[in-house]
Amino acid sequence: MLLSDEELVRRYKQGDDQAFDTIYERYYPPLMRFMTRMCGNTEDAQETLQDAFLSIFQYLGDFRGESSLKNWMYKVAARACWKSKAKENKTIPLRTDPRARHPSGETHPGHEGAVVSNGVPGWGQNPERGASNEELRRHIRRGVASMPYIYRIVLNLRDFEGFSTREVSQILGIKESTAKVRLHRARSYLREWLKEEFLSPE
Amino acid sequence: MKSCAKVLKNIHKLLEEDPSIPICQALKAHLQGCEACARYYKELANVVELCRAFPEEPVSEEHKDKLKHFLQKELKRDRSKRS
Repeated sequence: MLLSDEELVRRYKQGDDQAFDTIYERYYPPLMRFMTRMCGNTEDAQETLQDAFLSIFQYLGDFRGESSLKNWMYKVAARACWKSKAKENKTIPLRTDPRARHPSGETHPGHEGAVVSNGVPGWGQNPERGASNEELRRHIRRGVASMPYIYRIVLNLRDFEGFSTREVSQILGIKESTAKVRLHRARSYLREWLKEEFLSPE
Repeated sequence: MKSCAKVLKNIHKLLEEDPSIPICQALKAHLQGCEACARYYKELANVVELCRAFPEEPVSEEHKDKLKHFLQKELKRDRSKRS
């Protein structure tokens, strides 16, 4: 029988070791993937995840259920990322500013740069470019890892983990409007990254 | 909405907001008549789809077990300190 998170928390607070096991097994995989996308490598992700899980289980006894367990755990994980190497400035500037472009190549006041708009590849749609899904995954991972931290975390929570923008704002403790702006910038960054990766000559 | 610059500034709303609100209606109307902006929007929508459909990558069972033992040990130590 699949126990709800609420029931698991209740049992955990009563000292049920099986509840610890179930919560851990349920959340290790998604949190590990989240951390890997945030840190950009497995080693840092494992270190940060250790800190996050330690905090989670140390404070789970005090969890009052004001949010869902999942949202709370991601909040703790996000805080661990902030303190960790995930936050170190590994931003790789794009060759062009994604905000400066218009797809037609026209320039606008304050906007410079020409545009080559040949589309962003999709899953399983790249035979003509010779790009496999594995290559695409690699480029996405690198693009996410290279963008500014404040964009990366919003993109991860919204588009990879599936939280709503309201939940993202609650997890990160920012205004929803701020979350939306950062999300748009993250998506624009990744769009530009993928176009450069697929269009740049080797 | 006539200006492409204004459309680009607001285009993210089409991805996040209720499509029936006036600004989204205005954005959609512009895209129907502007191939360049329509292409830009499609590319952004593709990025969203790429992320949302990103395949789940395997996690290390070895690390999962190792971390679990570490946590159990640390939590046991915490409990003994408190009692």
